[in-house]
Amino acid sequence: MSEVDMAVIKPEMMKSYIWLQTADGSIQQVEQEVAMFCPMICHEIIQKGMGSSKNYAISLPQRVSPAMLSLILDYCRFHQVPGRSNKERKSFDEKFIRMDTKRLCELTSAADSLQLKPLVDLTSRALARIIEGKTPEEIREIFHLPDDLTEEEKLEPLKNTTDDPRIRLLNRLYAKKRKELKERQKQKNIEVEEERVDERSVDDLLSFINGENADSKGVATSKNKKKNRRRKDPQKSTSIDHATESPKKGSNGLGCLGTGGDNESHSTLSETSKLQDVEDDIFYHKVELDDVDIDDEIDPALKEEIDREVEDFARRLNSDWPERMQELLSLGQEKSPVHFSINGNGSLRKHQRDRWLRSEVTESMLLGGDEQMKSKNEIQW
Amino acid sequence: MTTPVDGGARDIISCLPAECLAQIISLTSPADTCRSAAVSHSFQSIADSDDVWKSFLPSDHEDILSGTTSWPELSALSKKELYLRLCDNPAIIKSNQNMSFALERQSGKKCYMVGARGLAIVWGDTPTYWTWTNLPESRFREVAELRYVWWFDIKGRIGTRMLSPATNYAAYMVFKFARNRKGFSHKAMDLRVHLEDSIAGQGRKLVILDPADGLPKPYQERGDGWLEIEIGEFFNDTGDDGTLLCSLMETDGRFSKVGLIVEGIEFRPKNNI
Repeated sequence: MSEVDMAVIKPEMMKSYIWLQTADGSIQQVEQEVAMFCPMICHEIIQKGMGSSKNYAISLPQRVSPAMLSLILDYCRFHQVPGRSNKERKSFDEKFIRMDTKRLCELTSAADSLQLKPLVDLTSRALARIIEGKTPEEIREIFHLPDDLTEEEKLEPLKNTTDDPRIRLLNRLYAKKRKELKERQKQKNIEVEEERVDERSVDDLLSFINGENADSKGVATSKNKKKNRRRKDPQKSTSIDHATESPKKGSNGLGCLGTGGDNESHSTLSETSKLQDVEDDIFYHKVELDDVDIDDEIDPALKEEIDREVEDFARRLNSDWPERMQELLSLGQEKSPVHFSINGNGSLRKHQRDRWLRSEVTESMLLGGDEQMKSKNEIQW
Repeated sequence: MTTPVDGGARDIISCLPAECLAQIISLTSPADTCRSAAVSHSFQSIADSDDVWKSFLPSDHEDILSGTTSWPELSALSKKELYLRLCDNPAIIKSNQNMSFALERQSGKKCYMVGARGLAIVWGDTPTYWTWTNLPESRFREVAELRYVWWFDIKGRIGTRMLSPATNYAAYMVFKFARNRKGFSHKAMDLRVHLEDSIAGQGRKLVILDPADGLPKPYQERGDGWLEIEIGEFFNDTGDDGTLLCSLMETDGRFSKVGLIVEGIEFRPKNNI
């Protein structure tokens, strides 16, 4: 065709192109109607008159790499066509976001810088689905995040804005734990001894749970010592695997029990859950005062009563652990059967509970093992 | 935020501006958000932020809470603290004092309890039959104690516009048995939930409140010292359905009913999984 002929052709048949430049310097041409789907580009064209030629290419934000731009333009190219049905669009979107997590993040960032909200919403929802239901450790793995929260930060007390005895007790646990951490830092030479105390305490704890008549003062039997030694052998990673495996139903926080543990982390599933049982058990106790010290001496009759109660309690807890886990994390208003019924004989039970609470078992529980602490955030759920 | 870890395994989420990460986290659940706060510093600052937690609270929470007796205290809390507080500590409505407001933990949806004084208890004003006492374990000033009655008839109401939309609710009578009780073990009680002005959403069941030992109990322990029995369910769509009515009735005059303590009727979301 001659130039004259071309001039007669209707303008609609000529596609106009916009010039875009990415941060790496490369410039490309894009159909105008596709590019205009991005508010930021639209703004540049209309308000600033940019993009009409190579020399006046629109500079895209740094977060938009050529690869991301290509994806974004694919998205725009599809969606800017007016005639498509909702079903078609949904179907396209579902296929479109099938990419690895890294690209999803980059795409979210790029789309955000171009103010392309529908795409930001789409990718955000996809990333939210990835995060849902995961433990903090899993999330760190997925996003390659450093585990840079100190134990102190993870141990920040739950705001006990409730009567919930579990939280009260957990806060008490945390307070003791924090205190202990501080003491450890101050007295590094006593560290070894403290650890030893911890080991024994953990053993006591387990032996109590198991209904054995271990002396609550912490004289470990040889049997218990062996148990503990066995537990020390498996690799740290194994213990983490087991720990995160144990509570399945979304109770991921407690799965971190034992995660990142050192010698005191417990590698077997049952041991982990037993510890959780005790913590769970402790949750149901009312602890009024933070400065009430653990009784150092318990008379034998009382101790027997306490032992019996602990056994019974542990038995009940162990029998329906998975359901209890779920309930524990639901806390409060869910239909969870409470182990201690507070009815006519409520005050008596409370008294017994307090005595149990002040027993050595609890003290050893409180002292036993950094890594048994769950983060405040995990506990609430 | 983009410090390389392990000599090269850089995190892939630091390319996101804070607002994007906040949006992503608010698209998860409150439970997930709490877990996110234990991931890393960057996650924690966002997962604890008001922006995120505001999205979990009901949109009109400030309006509702400013009308409660704990408002000055609540207004000082961060949104996260407020959310968690409301899950376990119901706030008493000031104008009514017979109603409490709380949140359902998993979803942040609204829960209301109508206290006994706010219910329609037939013969409730006649001291021979019902007395009103103060129990420390109740959130309300008074609870209703049944001495004896032949006509047992309790009704509770709530406007559907007060409930969260697009939510399945269940109504529960919150109660206790007194030391001596009778009349609830042989005859079934008539429990209904329906809209006051229409027959739509009619749910009805007959339940023996206090079955003999060995039989399954229709009630369960709440964990706050009270028992509850489900009266029925209702799906609240847009909240434009008027008033929801629940009733518990056992009116066979041959048998007297004795020994029940009623705290109120609670409306809270129920997940049918």
